[in-house]
Amino acid sequence: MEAVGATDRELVLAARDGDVAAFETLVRRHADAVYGHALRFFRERTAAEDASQEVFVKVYRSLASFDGRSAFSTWLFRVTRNVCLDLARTARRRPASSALDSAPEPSAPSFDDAVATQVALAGALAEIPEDERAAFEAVALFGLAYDEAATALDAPVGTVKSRVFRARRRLVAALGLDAEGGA
Amino acid sequence: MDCDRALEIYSASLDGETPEGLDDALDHCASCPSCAPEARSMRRLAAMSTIAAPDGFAERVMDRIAVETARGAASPIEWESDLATHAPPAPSRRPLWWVPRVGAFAAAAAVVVLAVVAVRGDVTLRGGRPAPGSPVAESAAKSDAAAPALSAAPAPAATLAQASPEFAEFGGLVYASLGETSTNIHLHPPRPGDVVTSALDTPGAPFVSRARRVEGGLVLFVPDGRALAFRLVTRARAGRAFALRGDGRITRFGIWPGWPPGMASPIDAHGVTRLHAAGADDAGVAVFVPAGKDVSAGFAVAPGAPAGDPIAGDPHWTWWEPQP
Repeated sequence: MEAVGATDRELVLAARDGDVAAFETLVRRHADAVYGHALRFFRERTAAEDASQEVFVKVYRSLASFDGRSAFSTWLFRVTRNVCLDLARTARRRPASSALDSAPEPSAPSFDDAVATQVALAGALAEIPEDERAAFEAVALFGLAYDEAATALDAPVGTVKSRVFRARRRLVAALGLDAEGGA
Repeated sequence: MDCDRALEIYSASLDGETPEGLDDALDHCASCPSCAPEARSMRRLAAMSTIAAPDGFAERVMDRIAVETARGAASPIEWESDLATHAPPAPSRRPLWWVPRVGAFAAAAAVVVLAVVAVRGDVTLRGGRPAPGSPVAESAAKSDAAAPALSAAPAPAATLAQASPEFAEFGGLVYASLGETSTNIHLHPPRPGDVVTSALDTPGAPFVSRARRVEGGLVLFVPDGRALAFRLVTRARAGRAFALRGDGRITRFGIWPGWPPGMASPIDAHGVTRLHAAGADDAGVAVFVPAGKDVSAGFAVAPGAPAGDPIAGDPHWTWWEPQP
């Protein structure tokens, strides 16, 4: 099939029929979102890569269980969150501390600027209410539409929208973005 | 337009939405001295919220899937009912007799073999330690040269199939439980050296137990008088037997063997195998070897071996070494 222009749903169906290229297109399409979530969760690149690979392998193994009642990205978001939590729970990977000041300095050799930015963002996220954090992660970071996030988080669409807005305002303040010349 | 309302609409636009009143909200946020800086800050937050996956990430994922598919561990037709948790453990296949006795047996049998460890040095089941100062005597296992055949007292066929994965590690190799067997096998009568004492002893009453290698297996005698049979775990390639190397970490019966210590991990930091495909064994299970090594010197088998395999269900890579 022509993978690049296909919808996620079409790619899933093709992958279930053995079209490996279709699945690779899904991986490429969603790699940044999955990796970004894992990086903010573990705040370390190797752990984020391991977790992200685990997510896609798990998705591949489970394609037959994707029934299409929700969007693929909604399902992927749930898998990503669960894989990170499971890895942390089984001590195969340790989640990062929630304290912002525990994050490595951006100038540390293993952290480039992009990673340092995500670490700072993760630290700020850890300080806001859980429901707002989850909504912001789903929508603003993972790229779900409001209705998809509402499904993933089992909350009304309007509630998700409000939570994202409140989270955004809190994060702007926490990161100093509201100050002229801030980060 | 109200400032909060304008910013909420503006926020939604950053999420790809086109809410009603967007044009008015954009105008407000562009001109309102209070809202303009906040809208600008929200844009900056949005800009810092994305990060690209590392170069080659998709290729590494697909390589890993290819490896797992080759060994049957990953397949799009496999159904997984609950993504929120890891796959549930396989249903217990222990024979019924095992259930009420498992705790006592595991402790007793482990201590029996541990006692042998202390004496022989080549028995590597690790399940705890005998009580400090416990006298440990020689076991009948020292008479391997005259080992009788395990087939002299076979366990029922159903038990053979159901006892896995209850493993013991002995002499660096892995043995799978066959369950309870007859004590009416051709062993020499207990000798003074066969007496094993352990932390399970009651004061002044050491129990008598023996561990005995037999052809292709091992028999443990536990304090309540039962004999427990174990068979060497092997697979065949080109008609030759290869035995499963232990990882030295079987801490109790019922856990799976893993990768032997002292060997380079088969998986690198990116989850990609360092081993190379080397065909399949006689049952069609893919085998792997380190770079530059020949399969005749031993081979690895990936986790997720198919049903019917000697280690079906083992989540670890395993190493198989040739038998004389």
